[in-house]
Amino acid sequence: MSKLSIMAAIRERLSVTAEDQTRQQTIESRMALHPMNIRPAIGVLEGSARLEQFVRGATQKGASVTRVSDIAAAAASILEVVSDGSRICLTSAAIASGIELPADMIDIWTPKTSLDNCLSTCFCAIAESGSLVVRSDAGNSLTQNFLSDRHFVLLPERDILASMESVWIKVREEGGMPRDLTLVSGPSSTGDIEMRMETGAHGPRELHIFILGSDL
Amino acid sequence: MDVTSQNFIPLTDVALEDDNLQAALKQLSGRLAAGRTAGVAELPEFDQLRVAARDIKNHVLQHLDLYLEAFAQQVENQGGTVHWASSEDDARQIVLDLCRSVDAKRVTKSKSMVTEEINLVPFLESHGLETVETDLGEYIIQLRGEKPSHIVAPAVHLSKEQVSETFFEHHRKLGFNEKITDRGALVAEARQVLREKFLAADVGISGANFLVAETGTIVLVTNEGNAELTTALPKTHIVVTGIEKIVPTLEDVSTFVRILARSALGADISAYTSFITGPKRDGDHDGPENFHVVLVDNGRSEMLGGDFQDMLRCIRCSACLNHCPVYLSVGGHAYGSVYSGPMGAVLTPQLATLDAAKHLANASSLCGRCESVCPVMIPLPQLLRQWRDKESEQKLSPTGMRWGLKLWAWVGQHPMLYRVITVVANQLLNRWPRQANGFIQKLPLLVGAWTQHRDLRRPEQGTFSQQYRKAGGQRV
Repeated sequence: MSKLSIMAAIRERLSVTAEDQTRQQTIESRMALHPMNIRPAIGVLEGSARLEQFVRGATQKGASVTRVSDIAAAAASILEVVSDGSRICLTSAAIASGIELPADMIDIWTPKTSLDNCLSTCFCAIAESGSLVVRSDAGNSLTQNFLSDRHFVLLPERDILASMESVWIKVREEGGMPRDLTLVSGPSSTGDIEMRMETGAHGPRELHIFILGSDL
Repeated sequence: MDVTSQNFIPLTDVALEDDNLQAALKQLSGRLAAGRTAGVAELPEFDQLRVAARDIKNHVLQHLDLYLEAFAQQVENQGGTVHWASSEDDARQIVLDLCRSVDAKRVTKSKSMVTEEINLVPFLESHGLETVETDLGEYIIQLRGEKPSHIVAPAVHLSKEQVSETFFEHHRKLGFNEKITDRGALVAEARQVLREKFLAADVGISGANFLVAETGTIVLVTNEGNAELTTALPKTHIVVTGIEKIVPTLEDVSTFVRILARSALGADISAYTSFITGPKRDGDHDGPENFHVVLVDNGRSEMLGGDFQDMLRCIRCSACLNHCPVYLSVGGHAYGSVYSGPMGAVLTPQLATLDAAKHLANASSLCGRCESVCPVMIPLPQLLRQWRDKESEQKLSPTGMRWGLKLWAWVGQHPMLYRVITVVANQLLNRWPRQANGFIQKLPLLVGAWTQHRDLRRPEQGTFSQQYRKAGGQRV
């Protein structure tokens, strides 16, 4: 019954009735048309300016960004970082990319366990804020990324979009919102002790992004 | 909402004497306010975004009933369940019942001011559920049995030495025998302890920064990644949030994401912004099987269509706290409410009672910094004045004060009398015995409060009118 009483309270305070069709049309049209609001100049970049902005944004937030020609070059770069004998777990989508890493380095994931390293793909990226867009689906598991000390991400250059609004266009084209879609902007951090930023709060301590010249 | 705001005046005395707190507040203003200034300067469109954000919220509030229905419909279409809570008692009971329905023993929680408002964690714990805060700041104050002193940085009042003491006391039984004071090591220790809690939890509770009506999505913003682990690992995710958090579309929420972190600390975006839509889907590797959203009213609908509706635009960024000379002098605990600073001074009388929280609106010089930095342009000084008016109308302020103000207003309306009084007062002050180096150190009676904590400059130049005439000013 709480729903009815809350609705009644709201309508009374606003002096409106549930029967007013114009109001219903107003909200339905706004949701159907979902007009864009102001997009800052930094959110409408194209071409090399867009790529540069992504690299700048992600780097500023403490991610490492490496541009590589193809997946083989990405594998070589990953091996340079994971040179401490730790093992790396690949999400299904990362395995499907065909990346070749030494078999003895590969870690098999069981859900709800912590990992040293995780390699995943991403849905796309946002140049404006230097963010990766990761999502839960059959290819990638969100907790696999978040339970890893180091998160490695394969990002084809053409998947770097201008702004959040560009992501929503892609989401709608591909059937709507997944269960979880997360904008990842740098490694996990906290400023909760004396207002000083420390990395590695609960999520990955390091974020390594590989921008591929080729597609996956 | 339970508050101890009645004690505001004695608590400010305690706060002013607390060296740890004073050092922390200095950090806060230096880092957050300065960070915001720099962050805003990087985005030329910031003021346009504020206007857009204000307009979106105003539009939502005018159509709140319909957007709530649309949101609830979408959540249910995705396989989630929506619960409606009129009061904090309802909200707590709904959450407890949901936890019991899945036979939960262990609960993790990410940061949420609404759950602080309804005092959820102590309630769940009193019913035998182990409930762990996972935001580092919240975790620290939970261990210490304290309330948040800031809406974004809840443990901002503590030094790393105090955190160290707290961890040593509580983590020793878990095998952490060394007392560490390095910030990075303290963060690493909490990470290790809380990782186990995340993995073992039966239920995860979060708040929501925004609710998207179009898609039934809840949006969570963190830097730590605790919200993702809280919501994606357990079998059940319960969202507890206020009815005013709605925005119509994903495009609209984008506008708010652009101003939220910038207003809080100057960053263009927080490390993690998660858009969560319903429970686990077929083919997903993770995510909760049960997804519940508890929509909490608790006094919010009463603010619609009235003098305080503008306050419902608040996105809890903390810019007003970080720029408030009162908050920055006394910190959050003095307010006696989980909502502190200017936004807390406006919201607390509404959510508790004006009688209990009347001091808060009075503790302001109405300097206007809060309004100037508010990303949704809430006229906070005006709202504070409205509470003062109500306090006076309801005769909640001391009789002497009300008559004093009436007398002052009357004198102000009689210029001749006003001039005579100011000239006499001026001469009196200039001849006052207790003064040194041009400052008066002690005044008697009613005006004595002024000199209790500071000196008053001697008005050597005369009254305004005298100076105006001396400078050649004409009567107009």
